[in-house]
Amino acid sequence: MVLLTGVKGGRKKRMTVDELRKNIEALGPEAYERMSYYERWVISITQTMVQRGVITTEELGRKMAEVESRDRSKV
Amino acid sequence: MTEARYKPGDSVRVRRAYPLGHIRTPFYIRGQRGVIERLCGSFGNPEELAQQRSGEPRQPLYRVRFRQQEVWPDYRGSAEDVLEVEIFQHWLE
Repeated sequence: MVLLTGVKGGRKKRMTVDELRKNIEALGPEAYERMSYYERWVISITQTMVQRGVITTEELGRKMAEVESRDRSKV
Repeated sequence: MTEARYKPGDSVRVRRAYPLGHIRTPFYIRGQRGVIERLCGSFGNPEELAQQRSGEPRQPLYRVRFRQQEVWPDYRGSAEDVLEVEIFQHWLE
């Protein structure tokens, strides 16, 4: 699964499947119902990376803003 | 690794407990009586692995067989119907 190769692959294990499940279960029922299967994965993996200190919320916020403006410049 | 306490055919009861966290034991099966069908092996404790801990010592995982009629009070199928759930040893008593 491509989504997980960046965090599970290689010698340094960055997350477990149980963390993936835990953070999916932590979604509110409303968010859970609204999201698609892999949207839940993305949110859960992101949450795990923040919890483990691999990325900070600051970095995440900046990157999201950057990607959004990239999309806007295309239209 | 924690040693296996049960063998196939043994009668067990699933703990009726509701702790927080990532628990693999389904809610609907907690408190139910069943019979060990087989030992599946030993695995890292998922409740610990979900919290960035080692999951050691590994815990025996069993396939436990329950009678559908006992699990679901309004079950209308055959009395022979069973349900099998994989449950870690620390959830059995």
